[in-house]
Amino acid sequence: MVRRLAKPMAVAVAAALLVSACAESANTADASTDEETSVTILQADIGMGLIKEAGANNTEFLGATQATLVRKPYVESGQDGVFEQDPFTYEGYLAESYEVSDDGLVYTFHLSDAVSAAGNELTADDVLWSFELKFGADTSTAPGAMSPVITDPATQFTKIDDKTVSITIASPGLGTTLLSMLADALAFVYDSTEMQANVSADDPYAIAWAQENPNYGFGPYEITDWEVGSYARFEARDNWILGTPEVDVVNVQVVPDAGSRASTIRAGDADIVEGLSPTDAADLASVDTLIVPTVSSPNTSQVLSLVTNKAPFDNLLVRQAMSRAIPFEDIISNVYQDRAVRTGSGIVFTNTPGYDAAGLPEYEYDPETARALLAEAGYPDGLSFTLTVSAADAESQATAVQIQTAARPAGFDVQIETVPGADFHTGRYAKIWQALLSVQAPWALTPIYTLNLLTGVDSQNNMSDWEDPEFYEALAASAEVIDQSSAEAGAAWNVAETRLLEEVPFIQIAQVQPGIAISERIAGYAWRTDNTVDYAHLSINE
Amino acid sequence: MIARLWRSQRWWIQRVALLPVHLFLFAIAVFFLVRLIPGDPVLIIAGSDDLTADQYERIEVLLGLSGSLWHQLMVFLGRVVTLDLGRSLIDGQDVQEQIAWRLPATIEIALIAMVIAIAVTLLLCIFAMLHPHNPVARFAAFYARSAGAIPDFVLGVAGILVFYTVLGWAAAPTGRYDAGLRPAPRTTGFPFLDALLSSDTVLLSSMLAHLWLPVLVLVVGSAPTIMKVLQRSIEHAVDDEATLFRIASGVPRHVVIVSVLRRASPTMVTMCGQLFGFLLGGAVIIEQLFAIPGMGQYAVQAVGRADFLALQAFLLTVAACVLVVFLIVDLVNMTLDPRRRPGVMVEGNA
Amino acid sequence: MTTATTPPTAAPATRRRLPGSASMVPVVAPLVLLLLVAALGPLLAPYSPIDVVAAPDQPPSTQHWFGTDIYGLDVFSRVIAATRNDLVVGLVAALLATVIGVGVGLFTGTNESRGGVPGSVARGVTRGLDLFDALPQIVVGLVLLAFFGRNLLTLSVVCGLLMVPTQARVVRTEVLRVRREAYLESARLSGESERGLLLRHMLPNSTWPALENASYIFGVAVTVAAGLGFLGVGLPPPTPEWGAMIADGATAASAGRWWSSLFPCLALAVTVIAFSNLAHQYLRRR
Repeated sequence: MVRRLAKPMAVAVAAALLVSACAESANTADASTDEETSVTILQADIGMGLIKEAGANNTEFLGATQATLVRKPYVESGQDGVFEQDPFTYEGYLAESYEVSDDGLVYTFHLSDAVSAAGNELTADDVLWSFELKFGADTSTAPGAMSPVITDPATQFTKIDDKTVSITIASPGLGTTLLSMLADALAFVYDSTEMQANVSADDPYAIAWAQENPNYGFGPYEITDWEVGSYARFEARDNWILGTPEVDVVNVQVVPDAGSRASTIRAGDADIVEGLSPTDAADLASVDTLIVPTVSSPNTSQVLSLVTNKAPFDNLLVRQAMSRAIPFEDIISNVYQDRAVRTGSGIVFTNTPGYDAAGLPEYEYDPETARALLAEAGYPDGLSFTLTVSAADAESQATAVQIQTAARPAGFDVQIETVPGADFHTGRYAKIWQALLSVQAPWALTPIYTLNLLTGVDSQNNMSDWEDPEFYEALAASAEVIDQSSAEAGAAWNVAETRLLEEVPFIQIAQVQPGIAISERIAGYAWRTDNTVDYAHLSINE
Repeated sequence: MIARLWRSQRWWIQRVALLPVHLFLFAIAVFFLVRLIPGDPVLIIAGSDDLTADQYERIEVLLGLSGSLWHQLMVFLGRVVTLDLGRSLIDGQDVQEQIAWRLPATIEIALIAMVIAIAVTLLLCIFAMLHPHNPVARFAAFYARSAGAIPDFVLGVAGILVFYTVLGWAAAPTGRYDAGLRPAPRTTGFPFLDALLSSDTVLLSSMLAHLWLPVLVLVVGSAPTIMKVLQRSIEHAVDDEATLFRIASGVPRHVVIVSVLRRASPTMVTMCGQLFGFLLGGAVIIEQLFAIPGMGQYAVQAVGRADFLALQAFLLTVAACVLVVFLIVDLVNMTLDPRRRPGVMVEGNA
Repeated sequence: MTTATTPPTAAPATRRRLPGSASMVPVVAPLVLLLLVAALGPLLAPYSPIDVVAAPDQPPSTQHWFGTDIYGLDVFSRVIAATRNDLVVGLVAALLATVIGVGVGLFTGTNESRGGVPGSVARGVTRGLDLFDALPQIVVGLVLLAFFGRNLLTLSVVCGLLMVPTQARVVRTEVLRVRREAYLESARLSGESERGLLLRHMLPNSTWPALENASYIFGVAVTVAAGLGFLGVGLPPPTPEWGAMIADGATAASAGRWWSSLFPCLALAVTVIAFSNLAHQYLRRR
């Protein structure tokens, strides 16, 4: 029987050998000494949707292949060889320039001669089509995310001529947030000629088509080879509007285990590693050949939300007691290995032009006061509550352990509950828990956006379920200030922020440094508010 | 004539014919098992952005999550029967395409590890049988008893620490080959075999450097379990009267060994089947740790994202593979030992 | 060829000898130690196992014998405190798998070859168990734990359920073997009822292999729990459990801070081997 099987097997193998003998070998022994410059990047598994509107997507990949009307410029940071995005100024990208009307309500963009990877020149129709798609496609989240700045593109966007588009907004205070949004992944401008040629009855916005044909954007790179969830190869475009990128090829490899990623760059087998734990990042910072960037005001922050729709945190005194029971210093040194900063209790970024911190309440670890507040609230013997964290989020778990220990003398018996990542997502929006720890990283850093992010009426992101008319009134008043970088604006935000901090619906624990390490071979890393790497800004040190 | 042929061949025809039936029943069980995963895929798609109620409904319909559970089940079974597993809820990728390239990749590693593990343990067991007092034999016995004492991922982490970080013998745990290399042209779908078949020596040597450590971890992790079973069945075979008779009659040593192995072979074949299932499971952790894209990675991703369709497809595919292996095991065993064929016992007891 | 003939018989000969008191010590001592540690745990631990007591990732020192872990918890106190939890996980899992497994195994083993409804049900159950076994344990565990929530009890029950097919298969094989043996034939001929046969002959005969296998299940349950911890669905921190501790320390270990993973790993290995030795010495048939 064995012999009978053996014959067809041998034939099959021989045939396969014949076929392969004709095939060209794809790799050469001296691939590394080729003319082209290449960079290897290791990423955690963060999904790989190749169009923003198709649900889970990889913002970094999109940033490499797509482009926006404006962008936030890079400036040198305090650290050698590291750049950071200036989150409060906006310069032209696909738009050569823009101007604002005197009442601050109409923004007019003059488009450049950018050419897409598919070979079509940018027109006003591309902008209109892109926003029609963002608000029309079933899986697009733009309507929620862009509200209240953009609610109806059909009425807000006007094509003036082939190269000019204007956008009208409802109140002047929303202007900076509009520019900020137009500079982020939410507002990529697509090649409408190419996409419209590929729509079908099932796929009216060519979303499914775009998932498999990602090279229709105006960005600096093309994806030439990829396997979802595994790897992708980017090649520089020589007709990108801002000039050919310095690095010819970027290879991205998905490495799910954080420890494996850290070991690899430590051994020098990768150029850039993303998604490092703070401990690994702190560890790698001591390696001479690596740069671990530290920026002035990182936008990733850890937030403890106290859900105000049920006991015990429906009681303001209990919330205030909790704000005195958190060991901020211990968390920063133990969990984040000092790779986190705390600039007061406020949530508005303190480097915002016009910012005013006068009179803001400060949260400090003070178990005595916390106990007194709890007693006043009717809990002389303290109380017990459940703190929910995502099992996928190691730092929040570690923070929860620190809080548990430190809150005990303050009268809080904290029970830690971990739930799977997917469940955490659902539960936090349903507001069913007592308290939860989450990590926030808003792309837009304007005060109005940050203040509104976790407090919106009926918003899923309002995890504390805290809706306060007095706060909303103060927020609306600040949106009426035309010059959003003036002291007048700063004073208006201060009113809203003071109210928020007095009410304690959530407590921002610390701003966390980016978990990234870069080989000294690579120059030009720039921190961005979307925490992705801009491949086009990288270069190779000689 | 046909009746006689049917009676003589029924044992395997029945067994083969039942396979799709089993799979279909299994599909129903999988459907319900997968619905146990908490988490709302609609919200996961939305990320942290707000959805209007109307939009929520539209996405729900799009994902096939609208309608009653019964309706969803019928849709799912319809898909299974037509062998169309659909598109992933979360990343929009075609599930079949994903499995088509991931499955061979995982099977390949599992098979390589299985062959090596069996060869090594077999040699160790024979050695231990011949020289029971040798330290190596004692170590083998101890090792067999330590089955399950050290979790797979510990072996993996320790392996990376020792062989990659400290000694530098293994390549980085970043996948099947160096980042930047192009995969071999797809001939068979099995990445390593394809690399072997192509004349691409760069790719092949990179693959060898990347894969030997994960395979070693799988072998070391699964060897004690096999050794335990193998030692037992070899002891049984040695104690068998037929063997004792052979030994007493002074036949050459290799004849005794061959006879012992032949007696132990049904257990070994059965064990291969189980080992295969075990290695597919072990691959989940190994793939995670060594960043080898395959079925295991797919499953972990799917659970993390509440990706029902992907997980269903994963479970069905793995079950189908293991069932086919079990079927082969049964058929081989029935061929080796006709007493195991169904119906034989019934007649004996009647 | 005399050299070839003697060794194979020598091994069984030494094994068959009943264990004397001298060989009892290495087998029983670790178990006694484990049970003592589990019982007296809180008294032995120098620190609270769930409170942050120092800076994280401190190497072993005189204050912290096994160092501190990534949270700043004392590893020694946690290894001690985890003993009880892990024995619970292992024992509950082994007990559950054995009780269900013996029942299912006896049922399928005795009815499989019959005609009629019991026969087809038994064959169906066997196939079903094969199918269940066909799935990677770790993935099924992932799904079940995600659903039932994570605490000591669900973790134990899930690990136990995962091992039911193994146990049922062992019992079934044994029943099939016993059925073939002559004394059952004679018992049947002497007119004993089916139930009597089941209780008086098959149950006792299949008990020893099942018990031996239970010790193996104990080990597998604890390591599966550890694997689940590694994939992020273990017990919530700071619950002391070896598997979760090993998993939490795994990244630190790959960066060279080996202590927070190594010590719980040693405890786990010692426990599994101790139970395995116990089974090897006392629970084996013959």
